[in-house]
Amino acid sequence: MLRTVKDYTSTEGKPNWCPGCGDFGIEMAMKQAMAQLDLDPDKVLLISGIGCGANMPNWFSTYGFITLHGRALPVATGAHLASHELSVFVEAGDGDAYGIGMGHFIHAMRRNPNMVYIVGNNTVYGLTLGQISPTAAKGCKGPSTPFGNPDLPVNPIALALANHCSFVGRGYAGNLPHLINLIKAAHQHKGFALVDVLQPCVTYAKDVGYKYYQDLTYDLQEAGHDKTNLEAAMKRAFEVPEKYPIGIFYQEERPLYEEELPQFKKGPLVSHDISNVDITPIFEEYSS
Amino acid sequence: MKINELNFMIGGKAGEGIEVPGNMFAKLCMKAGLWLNATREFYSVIKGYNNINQIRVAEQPVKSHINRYDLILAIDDETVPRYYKDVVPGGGIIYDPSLVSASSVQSEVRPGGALVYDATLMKEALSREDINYFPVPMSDLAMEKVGLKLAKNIVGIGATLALLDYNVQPLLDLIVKTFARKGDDVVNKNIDAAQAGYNYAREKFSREFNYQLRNVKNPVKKFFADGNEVMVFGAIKSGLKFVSEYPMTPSSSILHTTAKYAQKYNISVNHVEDELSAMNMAVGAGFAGARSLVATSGGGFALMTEAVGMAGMIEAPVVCIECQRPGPSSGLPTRSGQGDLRQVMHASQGEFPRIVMAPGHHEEAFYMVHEAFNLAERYQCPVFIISEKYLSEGYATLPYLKTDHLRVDRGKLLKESEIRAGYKRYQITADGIPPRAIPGQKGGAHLANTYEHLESGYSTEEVGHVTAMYERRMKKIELIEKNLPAAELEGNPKADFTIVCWGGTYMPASEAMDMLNRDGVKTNLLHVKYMLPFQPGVREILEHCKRPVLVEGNYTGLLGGVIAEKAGIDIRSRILDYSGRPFTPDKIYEEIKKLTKK
Ligand SMILES: Cc1ncc(C[n+]2csc(CCOP(=O)(O)OP(=O)(O)O)c2C)c(N)n1
Ligand code: SF4
Ligand SMILES: [Mg+2]
Repeated sequence: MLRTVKDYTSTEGKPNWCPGCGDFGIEMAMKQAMAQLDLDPDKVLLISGIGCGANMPNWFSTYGFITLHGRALPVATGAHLASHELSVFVEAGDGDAYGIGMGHFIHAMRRNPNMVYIVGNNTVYGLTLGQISPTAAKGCKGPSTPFGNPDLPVNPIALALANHCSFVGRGYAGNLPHLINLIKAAHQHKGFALVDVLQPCVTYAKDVGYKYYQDLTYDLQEAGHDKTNLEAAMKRAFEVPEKYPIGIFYQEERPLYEEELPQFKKGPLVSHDISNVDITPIFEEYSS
Repeated sequence: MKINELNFMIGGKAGEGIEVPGNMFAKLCMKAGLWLNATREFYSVIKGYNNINQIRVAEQPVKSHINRYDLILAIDDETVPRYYKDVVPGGGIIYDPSLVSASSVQSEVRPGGALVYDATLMKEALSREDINYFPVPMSDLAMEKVGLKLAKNIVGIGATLALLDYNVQPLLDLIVKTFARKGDDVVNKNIDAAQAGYNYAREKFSREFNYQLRNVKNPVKKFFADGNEVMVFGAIKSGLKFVSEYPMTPSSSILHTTAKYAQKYNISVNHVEDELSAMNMAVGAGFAGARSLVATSGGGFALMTEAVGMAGMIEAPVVCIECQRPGPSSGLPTRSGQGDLRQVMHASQGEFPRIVMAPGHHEEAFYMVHEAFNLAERYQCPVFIISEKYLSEGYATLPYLKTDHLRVDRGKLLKESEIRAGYKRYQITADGIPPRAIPGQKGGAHLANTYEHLESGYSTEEVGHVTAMYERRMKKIELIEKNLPAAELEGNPKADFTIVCWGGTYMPASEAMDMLNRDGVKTNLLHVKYMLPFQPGVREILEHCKRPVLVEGNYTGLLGGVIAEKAGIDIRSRILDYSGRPFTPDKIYEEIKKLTKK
């Protein structure tokens, strides 16, 4: 019997996002992807930061962890290394990922732990009532920038390409079939997979809503993009804001962090017997 | 003649390698069956500046370092003028006449570190009548025998052994062992250097010195390690599986030592991007079921603060060792102090159960770290061990520590077979501790949530639910407190003075107590080990003390404040030191002697 969205859905309550919020699309795409991949909900760990989108684990029936603003990645890395056979999904907002948690993002890409990093890119801080996020265009107005955003936006795709990210993808919350496939591909990828999702915030980022992305997004794979070509990927990354390519920009096979260390060969660390560790050899070593 | 009782010090410039000879000397003493305590004082500078390595040996366990030296080996120009006054009558100084002479002057003045000395000072430094001077041309001998000036350290150690009338062979064996990896040439050169120093001192100063080292018969099996290493051993024994750390003096050797054993004991050891990451990762690993550890100093701990509260809120076990150095801010990176107590006790917003404890010496540190991992899982909360540079980087010999009685207690961690339908991770239980499932277990799926939550972990803001969960969590504090071992008074219960201290200050304080008692000043000692929850029994003990004296390595008497708050007793007599140097037994002794006259 194949699993369905219901198998990943919490019975406690329903999402409380604004009607029309792009987070619904992300939630549905994740659950569909999990179902289509037939993942055992007890083997899935969904870790999030703090924000509108990061409330996500409330509405999943898998293992979940709502952490701190910006810290989803290190928490996920720790959990993953402790128990590396779990399917780890990380959900963060663009403030989470590219603002307060930017440092962790860069180092996670270098480290290449096996997990999917889904970033709801809505150009605003939704949960704190609509300030600009690091991906907001220069000039954007918000409560913290009444005269317009003085800073240039972060380009997360280019940043990932420049930092050894082994899977660089972008989805669009308004294109569900595409996003489902992208999340599946990201999960099947061996290593750290970034899925930046263009996520309309219908309340605070009305200028970059469904209408805007509907016209400007196009499918990289349909356009014949070669995802093994870093240079071509970099070019595509800089098409914004004229065009928003979605799909896989770049994918590379690289050894996993845990694959290169013998500690992980005997199964997940949590399964090791710790009841009687013998440290006499250490005393011996320090006695001569 | 003093046999097997020696306070030895090697002084030299950073970068000249006083480490290697210090270590060799310590190992030789351990091999001879002696006990030791060793500590280093050094500047936060990689090259230049005078550093010292203090090694105190005896036939009985040595409690603390002291600053009165029996023998100094001065490798540089600065050690003699800096420390000649600290040599005990009858003691000696080995120095290099090409560096140290009555006409030496310190020409290059480096602010913030170097001692300025001139001919007058040098004359004085070299003319104490009551001590022995042993000029050994260490640099010349090193150049002559080895063609390498740096080998002067080894020449010096050779000379030291000759003066102590000890056999040179164990040193030569140790040289072979230490330098084997570097090839025969290096081994042979160092052997020549050691032999040259030994022969020189034998010929020039035979039997002039009043101290001897001898092998002890049937010695106890011992090992030699610093506090950080010992704490790592305790962690490994308790089943350590995960470490994330960002280097910061004086905690870095915890990272280095765990890294060294990572593959042998199957531990994931991670040098991560910053302390934010370190603590967040460790909480993630603890949540997922691995025994996880972070270590840092005050500055790094400040960055960990938010994640400390996360561990409290989602009830994840995690152990953090905070190795204090004096603050505020960057403070004195390579020195010792006890200024972070309140920071560790109160880090992070809101209220949640946590355990804060501080070991007094190496052996206690081993067992306390082992216990910390059990407490973290039993009470599902973060546990903090506070150490300081003096303990963390101070060395001691220890007997092979007994581990047969140690048990790994994982508290209410469920086996998969114990998980029932309708499992709730944050169930409101009678003792406050909920049953714990970890990711991957069948039927245990739940949400760990830093927002206030229902028993399932689902977010809530409803008054009834919020207060019930809050109370259930906080209830754990009572339970922890009830199960803490009560404080104990050491020494004569009817003493006139009670030393009250915490952390590594215990080591000098305990020796000071012995000194005072020998001198007729009746003194006992209260070492407070648990600060949060506050250790039971402190009030009862202090109520019966004639005159408690607080001894702490800070300005405001932080433990004193905690005692006033929790036990309602205000300790007025205080010996506080914030110089960045650890207390010596002498200092505590003298200060308490002064109190006897008041
Ligand atoms: C350390 C810290 N700083 C600030 C906040 C307040 N805060 C909560 S969510 C948020 C921004 C959320 O923006 P984003 O990550 O883009 O998520 P979104 O709400 O847009 O999904 C902020 C600033 C916090 N929770 N923690
Ligand atoms: S504020 Fe924006 S991001 Fe947040 S729930 Fe509403 S629409 Fe979604
Ligand atoms: Mg956002």
